[in-house]
Amino acid sequence: MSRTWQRQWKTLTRHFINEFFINDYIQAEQQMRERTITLLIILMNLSLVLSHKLLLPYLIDPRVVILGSGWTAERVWLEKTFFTTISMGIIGIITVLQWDRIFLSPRDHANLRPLPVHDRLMFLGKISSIAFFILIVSLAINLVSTGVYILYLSDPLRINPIYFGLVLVASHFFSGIFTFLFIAVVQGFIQAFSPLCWQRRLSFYLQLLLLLLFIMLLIWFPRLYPTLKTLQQNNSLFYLLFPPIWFVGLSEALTGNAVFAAQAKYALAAVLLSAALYSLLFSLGFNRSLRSHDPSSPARKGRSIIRRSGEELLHRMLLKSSQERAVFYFAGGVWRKSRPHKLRLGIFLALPIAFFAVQCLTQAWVKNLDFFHTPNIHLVSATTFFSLALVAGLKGAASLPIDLPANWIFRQTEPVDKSRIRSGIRKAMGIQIILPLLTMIFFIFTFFWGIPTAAIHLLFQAILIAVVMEIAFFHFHKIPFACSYLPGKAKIGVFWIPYLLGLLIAVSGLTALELALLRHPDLTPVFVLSGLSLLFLIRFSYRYSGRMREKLIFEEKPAPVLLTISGTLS
Amino acid sequence: MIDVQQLTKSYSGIPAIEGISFSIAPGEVLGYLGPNGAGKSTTVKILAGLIEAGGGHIYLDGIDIRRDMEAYKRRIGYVPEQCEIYPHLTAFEYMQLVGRLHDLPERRLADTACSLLTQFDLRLDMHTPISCFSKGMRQKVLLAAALIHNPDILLWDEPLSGLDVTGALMVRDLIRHLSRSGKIILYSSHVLEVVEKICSRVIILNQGRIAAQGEVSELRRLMELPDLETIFRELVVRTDTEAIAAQIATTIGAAAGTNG
Repeated sequence: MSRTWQRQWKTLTRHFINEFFINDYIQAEQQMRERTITLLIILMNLSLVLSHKLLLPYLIDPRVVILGSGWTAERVWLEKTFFTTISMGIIGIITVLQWDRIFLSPRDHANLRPLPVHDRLMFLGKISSIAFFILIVSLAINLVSTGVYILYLSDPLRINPIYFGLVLVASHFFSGIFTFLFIAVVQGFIQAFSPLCWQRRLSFYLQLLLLLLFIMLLIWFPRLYPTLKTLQQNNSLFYLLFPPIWFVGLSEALTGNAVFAAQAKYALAAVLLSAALYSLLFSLGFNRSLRSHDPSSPARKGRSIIRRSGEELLHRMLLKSSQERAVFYFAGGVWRKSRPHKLRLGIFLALPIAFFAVQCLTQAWVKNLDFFHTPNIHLVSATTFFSLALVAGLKGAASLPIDLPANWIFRQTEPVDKSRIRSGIRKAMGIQIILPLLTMIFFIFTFFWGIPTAAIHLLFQAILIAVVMEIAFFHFHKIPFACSYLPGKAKIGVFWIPYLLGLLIAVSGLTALELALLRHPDLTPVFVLSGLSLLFLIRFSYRYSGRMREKLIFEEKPAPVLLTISGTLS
Repeated sequence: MIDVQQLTKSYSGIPAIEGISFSIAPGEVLGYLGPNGAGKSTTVKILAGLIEAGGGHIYLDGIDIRRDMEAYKRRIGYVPEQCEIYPHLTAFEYMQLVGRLHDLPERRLADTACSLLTQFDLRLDMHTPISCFSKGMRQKVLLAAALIHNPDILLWDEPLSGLDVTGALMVRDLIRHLSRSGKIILYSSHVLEVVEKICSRVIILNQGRIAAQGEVSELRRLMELPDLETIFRELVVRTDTEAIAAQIATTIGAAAGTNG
């Protein structure tokens, strides 16, 4: 490699690494440092707590101490598999969130292609940055746990603790690389082979699906892992095909345990195959974008008669004022077309959906399909969790601007009375997002519970969403997607325990309430009346708070660091 | 000398450019004109190596550029029509990125980047993220980055886009200087007055084909028309702009009547 190549390779690698840390979710350099450090510390803490909890029995078990062979594979491969699975799940989620950085982005193409950089160097830069990125994340997840492994389990007489530690780090690194490349290969197939007109949409849905699967893995695996030993003894197909076991096998084989030689081979083959496929798909995708780089989007046909009639009906019945219509269609356009906004809502919804799916799978496994036929705490709590996450996701996405410099049009046309704007927001979210989702939930539960019970369930969730929406958007004196965004206000990193407790209390309380209502359907009118009164009360207090006539917020100001006595900012 | 021969490109079977041929000699500024969708940016992108041509050849000093694309790209300075630039980098970091990829020595790179950004009036903002820049400031960063390695060929697609009057005048003078020092310059634009003032020769593109090419004075003489704008109207503009303007005024009046 010539000196020029080396320098270009280093520059590109550094550039691509930085891109992993600054993206749609992390926008400024200062945020990048803070968020990266916070994330790494959270991962390290999680790793410490988990490894300590898993391995402590080995340290305090007198038989292990006497035998002095606590780290042997017969005993700890289960714990290692648990840890490797969690590590791969976390790396999977991080990779899915880095979706646009897996291959070269359109911006990379526009900026780097006119420069004298060989295509192969771009590939090398990308692959080196991936390796470095995975190394950092993998170390953050596994370094502390490796220390715990060495302290609790290693037998210095039998194996060098440093070698033992290095093997663990290496196997976790390879498992991380495999996870990243596996996701990359899935995305690469779409980029290289799907029709261009479908590419963006397919890619987005695939991203959401993978996110859901990895969250499900993290929720589901702790329940499955005690049965792994049985699966191994039965030589089950799952045991043979579950990738984390391959990488546990790799670390076992490298520390001299021949039982796992086959798994170690699978691990190496998986990494090599995924790397080869990534290279091939990178090249195919690169050449494809070089051939068919078309900046223009295909012309659309005009609106159909059905659509036009539907819109007219909607205008006559629900969207009577022009301001309402403006906000309604603006928000609708963002929901339909903006990937970051859809993704943000998707992230909020992925957790309850994964939780719901895991609960269904586990319960159906244990209690067969009868589980679905009666309203029970699992199904009701999952729907309630979904409804709360939906409102949080809507608020989170609405706070994210689509294109700030374009918001002058709203500033210029701001009405004196903001009630129409607020009504437009409410209707946009209600008709375009909440109604289709609730309809879907209604059909699912009608299938299992019949129309009357499903209708009460729907009614409860609809009123719950309406009330929580009013509360969540009480201080949202903005037009969705048109105000600047100050991240980190919720301080999740600091207050996650109270938030989690609050969520658990809310979900349990609301679930108990709904179950009571389902047991006594005659109380439904009382519930509906109470819900509507609460809704009316919130709206009434908003209307008379005087905010209706205040100017809308377009530029969010950071909270003052210190307020002096005279009331000025310091 | 850059020599373009029979360049073609189609998107989804629809031709964007067909049989485009021209050459630009050192010291020459070629104005590349045409209405929206005529194929100007497609040609510039092919010349910049951003997209592959469907057919045809580009020769630089008699050698097909595809034989050594890196060597060719080392000699071009490209300013894109759309301001695609990494917003998280500062102006100085962006210059560093481009300079390093051009393999400029670190010391020279830092000095040149500083000087160019200062000359483009970005001295006070060179360490501010580009995301905070106005359109004109971003355009200046792109112009400075396109010059950092002292390229022989300048492929500038709407370089005055977003610039203030001082900036635009400065860039016009800069093009004259660069042309005098023997650079090959392709200047693609909609702004006819500027093209008329700074370009030694023009190509007028219409629906992916060359409608006319030659020196501005030669075109004026051949077509017996007073200026480039009239030539452009004659060759490209197929609609009666006066009539459309009148129709727009009527539509606005009608809409106002409905509202009021």
